[in-house]
Amino acid sequence: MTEARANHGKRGRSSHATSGSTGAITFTLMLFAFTVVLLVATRGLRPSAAVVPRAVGLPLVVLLGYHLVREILARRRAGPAPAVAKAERESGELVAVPWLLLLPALATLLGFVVGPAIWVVAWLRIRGRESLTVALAAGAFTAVAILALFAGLLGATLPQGIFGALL
Amino acid sequence: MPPVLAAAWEGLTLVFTWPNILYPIAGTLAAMVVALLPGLSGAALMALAIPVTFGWDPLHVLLLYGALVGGATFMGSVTAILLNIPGSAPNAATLIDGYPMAQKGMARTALAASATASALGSTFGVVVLIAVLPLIARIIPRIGPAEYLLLAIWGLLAIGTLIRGSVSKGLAAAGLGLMLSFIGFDMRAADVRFTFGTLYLQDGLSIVPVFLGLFAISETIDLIASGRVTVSGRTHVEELGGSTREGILAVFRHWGLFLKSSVIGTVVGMIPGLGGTVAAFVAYGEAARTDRAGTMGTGDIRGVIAPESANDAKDGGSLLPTLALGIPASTGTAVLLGVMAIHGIRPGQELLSEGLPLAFVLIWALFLSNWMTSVVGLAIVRPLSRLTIVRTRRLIPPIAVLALLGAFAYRGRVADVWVAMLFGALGYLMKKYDWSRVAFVMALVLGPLFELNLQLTLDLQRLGRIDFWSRPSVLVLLALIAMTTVPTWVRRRVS
Repeated sequence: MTEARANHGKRGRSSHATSGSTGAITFTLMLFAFTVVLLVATRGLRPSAAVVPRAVGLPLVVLLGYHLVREILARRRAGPAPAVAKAERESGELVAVPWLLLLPALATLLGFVVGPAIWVVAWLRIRGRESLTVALAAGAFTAVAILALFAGLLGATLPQGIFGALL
Repeated sequence: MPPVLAAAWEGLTLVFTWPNILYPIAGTLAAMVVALLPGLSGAALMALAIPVTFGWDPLHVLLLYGALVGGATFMGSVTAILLNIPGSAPNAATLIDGYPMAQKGMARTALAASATASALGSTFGVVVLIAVLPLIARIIPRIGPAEYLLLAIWGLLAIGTLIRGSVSKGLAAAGLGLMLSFIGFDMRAADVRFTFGTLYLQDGLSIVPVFLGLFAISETIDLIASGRVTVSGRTHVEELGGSTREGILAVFRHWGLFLKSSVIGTVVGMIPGLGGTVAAFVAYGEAARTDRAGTMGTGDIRGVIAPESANDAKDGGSLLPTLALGIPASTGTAVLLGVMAIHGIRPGQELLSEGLPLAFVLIWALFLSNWMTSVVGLAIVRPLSRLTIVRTRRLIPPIAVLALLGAFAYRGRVADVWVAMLFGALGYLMKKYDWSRVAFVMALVLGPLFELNLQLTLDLQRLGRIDFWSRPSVLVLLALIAMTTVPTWVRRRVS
């Protein structure tokens, strides 16, 4: 099997979840709850500031409620989703989310030059399985590129981060 | 020779005189580099260049700034098409179809179509600018809240035609976008809404971090979670389809759509406060409305041509109120007006009579920079398209770092980075569970315009300051809305 075909296979595996899954129900519930919170928050507003958000929010709550019921009914009809594809995708999500949260966390802690550079080295070494030399070179290039483009060319002041000043 | 044409010729001669030509070239190159960096707009570069120009001749200032206005527009679509990262907010409309084209291995075609639509769209805008410039001083003051309201309604109604799959789900996504657009300080009621006590939310949600999150970060999550090897699913350049020629020809094949989008871009550009994002999304909505095959949003070339031609045509349109009335039509033209004031160039009647050649210097510099970016873009389509066969494990670091820096650089706030992350998660979940992100962002963009002008129109009508139904421009817009929207809804209902 060629690499391209293998890749297509992986793409096929990534086909997105349909309605009725636990995730779909939870997501719709979150949207519903969020809209209810916004709608409740309009109670403290002046009437002229609240009128349009209420006019949009009320039908939106009804619409989201309708979808929530539909998702629950769809789950009852269809049963649980195929376990293998679901588990593979969910494990991918469990990798993606912490890695992506690590980037702004490092930037906030170590600054917008050092933080991203360290993240790039870590990503390429651990996830990308690149050699240490390649990962370090990429990290150094990232730091230089950020400094040259954002600080040098555009004169932007990049935050040093909470611990950046100590480095 | 009529005075306008004589001034146009004089302006053109001034642009191509040595060493004057160096200024628009330098401006274009700087704008191209900045446009590739997400979150940084041409307006930011224009503001940064102000101190450099203090001692300059006004002619050279206009040559540089004309190029800065026009140079950034096309390049923002490059990252949108290749990496799902909008270079600037208006390019978010391009990625809806541009990125799926790159995923199908058709990045070359998409980039070439984008470059061609940009160059021709800007030409259209400049031609209209030259034709309408003498008349514009009488037209612009007639556009008021009622007309703004109808334009916003037109855009919001277009959402209905963009929705694929469940219509009620699409409408709910649009409703959520509208609700989030209400966050922040309501100037009319002098009240803050949905800020939950935070200072950060008082200015409302910033569009750039939201767009970067919804599209770039969500795509990064998807790339990691799906285990895809490359963006296009191909690993060798020979496996890539499409061609530069195909992309160029596509614009001519869809010439009706190109013209319609350019008209939308020019008209929206003329109207102060609307800008390229509204132009691009309204043009995209109009293209989707006429899509009978139902392929828009899945990698249709028309979804690239429409927003790109509108976005570039808008540049010419936005110079009309700026030069004729001194009213900025966008952030970029607001900075331009400031620079003109610093150098003693006063827009209005004086500039359009004795200073007309100087006004044309600005127009030609804009025109030249738009073409230069497109020509350079066409020349590098092939190497750029190779990005779609780069392994995702190597592509993810630049995407993630650019998205992070783009979210921060727009306003220099670290909190924007976390907002982008939050919207990244939201965008990923919306994509995963089939909630329309396009309907969501269109409503988010048009929400403030709709609400403010709805309330202003109602107030003005109540106070007897306007008669909504007797305004010719209102009737024209209502007819246009009815003509473009009703047949689509009827067709959808029948099918």
